[in-house]
Amino acid sequence: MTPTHDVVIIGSGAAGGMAAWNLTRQGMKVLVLDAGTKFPREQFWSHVKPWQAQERIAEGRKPPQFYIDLKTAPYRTPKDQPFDLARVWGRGGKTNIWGRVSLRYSDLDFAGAEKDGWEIPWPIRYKDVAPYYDKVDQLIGVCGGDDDQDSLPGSRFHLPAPKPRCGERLLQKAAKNLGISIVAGRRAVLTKPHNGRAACHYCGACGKGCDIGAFFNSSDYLLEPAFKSGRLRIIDNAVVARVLTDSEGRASGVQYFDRFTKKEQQVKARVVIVAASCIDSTRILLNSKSKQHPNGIGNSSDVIGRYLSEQVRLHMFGFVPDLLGAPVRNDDGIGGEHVYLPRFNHRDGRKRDYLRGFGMQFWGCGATDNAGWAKEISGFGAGFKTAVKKRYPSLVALHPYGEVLPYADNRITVDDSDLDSYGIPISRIAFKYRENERKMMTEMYETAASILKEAKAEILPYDPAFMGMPGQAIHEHSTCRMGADPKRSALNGFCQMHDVKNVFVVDGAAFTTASEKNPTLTILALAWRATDYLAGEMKAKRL
Amino acid sequence: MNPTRRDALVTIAALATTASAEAQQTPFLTTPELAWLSAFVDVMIPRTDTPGASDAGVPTFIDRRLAANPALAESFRAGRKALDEDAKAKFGAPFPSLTLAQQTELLTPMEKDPFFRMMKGLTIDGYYTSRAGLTQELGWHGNTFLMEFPGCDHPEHQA
Repeated sequence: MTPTHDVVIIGSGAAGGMAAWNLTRQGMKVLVLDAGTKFPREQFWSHVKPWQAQERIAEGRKPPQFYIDLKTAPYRTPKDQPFDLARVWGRGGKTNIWGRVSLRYSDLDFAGAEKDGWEIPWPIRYKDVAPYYDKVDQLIGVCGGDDDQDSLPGSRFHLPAPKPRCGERLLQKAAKNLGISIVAGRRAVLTKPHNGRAACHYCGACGKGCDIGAFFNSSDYLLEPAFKSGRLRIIDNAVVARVLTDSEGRASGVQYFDRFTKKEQQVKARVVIVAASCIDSTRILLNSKSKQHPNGIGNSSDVIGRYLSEQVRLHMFGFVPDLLGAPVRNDDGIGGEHVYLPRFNHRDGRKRDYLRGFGMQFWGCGATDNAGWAKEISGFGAGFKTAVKKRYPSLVALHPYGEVLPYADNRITVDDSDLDSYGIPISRIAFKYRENERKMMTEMYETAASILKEAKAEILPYDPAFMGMPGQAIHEHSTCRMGADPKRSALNGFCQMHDVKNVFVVDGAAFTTASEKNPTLTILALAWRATDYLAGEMKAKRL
Repeated sequence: MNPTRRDALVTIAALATTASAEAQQTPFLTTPELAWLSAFVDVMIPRTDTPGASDAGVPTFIDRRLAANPALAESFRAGRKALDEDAKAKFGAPFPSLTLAQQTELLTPMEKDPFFRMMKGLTIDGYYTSRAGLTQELGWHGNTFLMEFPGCDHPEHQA
């Protein structure tokens, strides 16, 4: 007989890492199953210049391969509904290379559905999550401003905000003229030493993984401290297939396959925490069928798999006249934008023909390590070369992100006839944008263009009908949503299944709505809150 | 232009994957093909007071891309043939042998042509990620170690 663990956690990203850290420090014995292994920090190519990377690759060398390939981890979409799913197998998951934008949700997000009547509101409010946002900010280190708005709560615990780049300043000024405020961004980057970790050195290469760990990643910030407790064990290369149940339909453990040998294994647990990222968590739940759970574990409501909400976004570029031909500066900073445009469309009294809202990011303003945009500058030859050089320091980039409403038939399903190489049914993802997203997108394009026009920028050609490729925000949510009514939701406000009390789902799948904001900070806060509750329930012997 | 967030994150990883991380010791293209390619990319981005595309190693960059992508290599060979035929029909010699004025006359109406766009795109990708293109031409001096990030200090840029 294998030993029974207090808690088995599936996945080690932001959600699973937080659960492991918080439970081990409260005395629980925890087993984490991760589908990959650790990404060695010394192998990151953080300081490899673009031309050096090309030479290394020609020599047959490889940087860490963060994204799992489709052969190992296939999924299917209908022909006319592509969905570009990005997943990372390995300790820390996507936090190794995440965008680090760390925005608190507000009650505009948590209670949005109360106001407009579209689907259900969250069972929790900002006041429930705020103490956990405070704790997460202090634990991981988030830089930002104190310039709160109703749509973007601030924090007393922000590290200093980095100074904006010239292009960001000019956009801020232009937006202000239009009555739209652009505030300090909030990002999980250490702008000063924090909790014994070194500060960012402004190399701008965060997307390749940080060689010194100056931004939050679950492996270094959560799993490593949890190991020190002596109560954490991780099984690497464990590809989880199902949550197992006992004769009463309660979770009893987890079935997984070794990634390479494909040998089946089972582990027993008193509590199972599912944190494999939204779509893979959902797939595991739907595949966990039994007599008590013919529709997948905890799915008597039939909401699991439904309401898949990503975000809709666009990218617009321009060249601001004040910086044309200006001396080139090092614009790397903390790797992403230093400013953020919070949602404003609820505030100006204008009546919209769509629900919910959008915010805007600005990564890529100024001098960067390529000039891919030059493909849109006409001509060739010496004149072209001069035109590119002149524009190079003046590039500004606008990236609005909008909420996608939850729709019951934007959904993930599994089918016993469609299996991966482990013999597990794969995810079928059917997702599309609807009228609400198209209407919101129109205003997103108009807003971005109006800021550029106000800044007197030359705007790079764009197609206002282009909706983007679903999945590429890498913000999947809501396929195992929390809610007050067990008939319309799978989880309570503590990420605990209504149907199966010893199963918790703590990643983006638990979100009731997507909002326009980046989800990781909220995943960390909710996973911390859920596992505080779980620990209390276990100590009180209710679990 | 609609790059994805992942473009920024995985360009290098993708390169490594498509090249199947096999060391590429010898050129993929033939010597005459490489000579043709050098002539073409130098029309796109010529040597001025800074290096041109072939000075910056763009032919090697494109050679590696073509080696990793058979469809792209096929498009290159077909496009080269077609352009040389046009050059011969109009000026009596293949593209590399023409004067710059003739090459310019031939390419100017091709702004929307798929072969032209592909080759211009590859030249831009190669040149503006090369040491010469990024540091000498554009003046990029990033991806380094700074104690502090100065940010914008122009009073006229403040909101």
